[in-house]
Amino acid sequence: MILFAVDCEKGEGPDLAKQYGIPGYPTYVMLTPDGERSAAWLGYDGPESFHEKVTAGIADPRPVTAKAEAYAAAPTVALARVLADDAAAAGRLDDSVTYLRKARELDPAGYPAYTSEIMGNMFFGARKGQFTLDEVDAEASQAQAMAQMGGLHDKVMLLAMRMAGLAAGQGEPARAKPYLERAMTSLQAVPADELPGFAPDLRVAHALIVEGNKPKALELKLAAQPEGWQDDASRLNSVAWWCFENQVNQEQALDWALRGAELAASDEDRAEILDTAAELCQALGNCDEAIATIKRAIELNPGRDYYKRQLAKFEASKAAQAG
Amino acid sequence: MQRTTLLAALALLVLGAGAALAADGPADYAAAKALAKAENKPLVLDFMTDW
Repeated sequence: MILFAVDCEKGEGPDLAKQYGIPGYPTYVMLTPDGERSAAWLGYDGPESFHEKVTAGIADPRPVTAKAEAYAAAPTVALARVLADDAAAAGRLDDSVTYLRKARELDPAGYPAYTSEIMGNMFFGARKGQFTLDEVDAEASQAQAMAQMGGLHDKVMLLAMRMAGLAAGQGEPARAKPYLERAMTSLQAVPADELPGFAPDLRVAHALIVEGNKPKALELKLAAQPEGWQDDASRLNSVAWWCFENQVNQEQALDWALRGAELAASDEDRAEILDTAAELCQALGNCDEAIATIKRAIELNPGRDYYKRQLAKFEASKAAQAG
Repeated sequence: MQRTTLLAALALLVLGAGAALAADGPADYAAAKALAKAENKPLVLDFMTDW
């Protein structure tokens, strides 16, 4: 076989990525010698997994369209697996989940692995609007309950973190409550030195969403920062943005964002941190300062249209207040 | 070539699938497709970026 790398940011790469519907990097698309798509998969998961996918592609070189017809006539685990990968590699996470559910039904021994992949695709797909929060919730609550029964504490905690992120992003943070409650039980069952790296964030999310205790959440958030974070532009921005998103400690957060902007290593980074500062100005009711701040971001990175949309948003807000 | 691409290529070499590496392979997409057809071999496109 022939392996050819396509740099999606250069030369013919962007057009090819568009042509093949590439949703992220790396994505691998296998073609027959006649140029027909026979398999595709998203991500690199180590040499064994890569070898397995290539071997399966060589063993069944039929085009994807023929495989889909064969699956429709008589679904098998192998076909469901290949078609699930191919759909995900074209950004169709919803189709991928449908195939994976069929594979899970046909191959009950693989239930945990299929469920884990289904959840990954659903969280990814939800960001692209391919799944509603209700759909993810239905699958995730079942997955978390099973993980809890199986004593898979890492999975219980990871699902909680991902649900907290999704629910907050969709403006319904309370939907993550039952997940976070179960995750705290898991967190307490795991020895401290075996906790996952995101355990501090889990405690923060629990304080914020389950307990509704913002001061405690802030305290935990700050305690989770590495030493010297107040001299690190990226950390300052991250903490300030968290304060903005969760409406916590916003006045001090504005100071942190402005300090982060001073310390930023490049104009692009500075513009990004100024956007955080502008949002905080706006949240604190200072429209003029928000407008002035986002204008500085535009000057520093005029190519990024997002800042221009932010300016329009702040100006509209000011006009609405004046009117 | 980014790390994942290199690892993928190494995986193929180690596991004996006989990959033709991009470094000494076709210059562009059209050439890769033409080579695959001429040699009657499957072609794997590795969509990546060097950020």
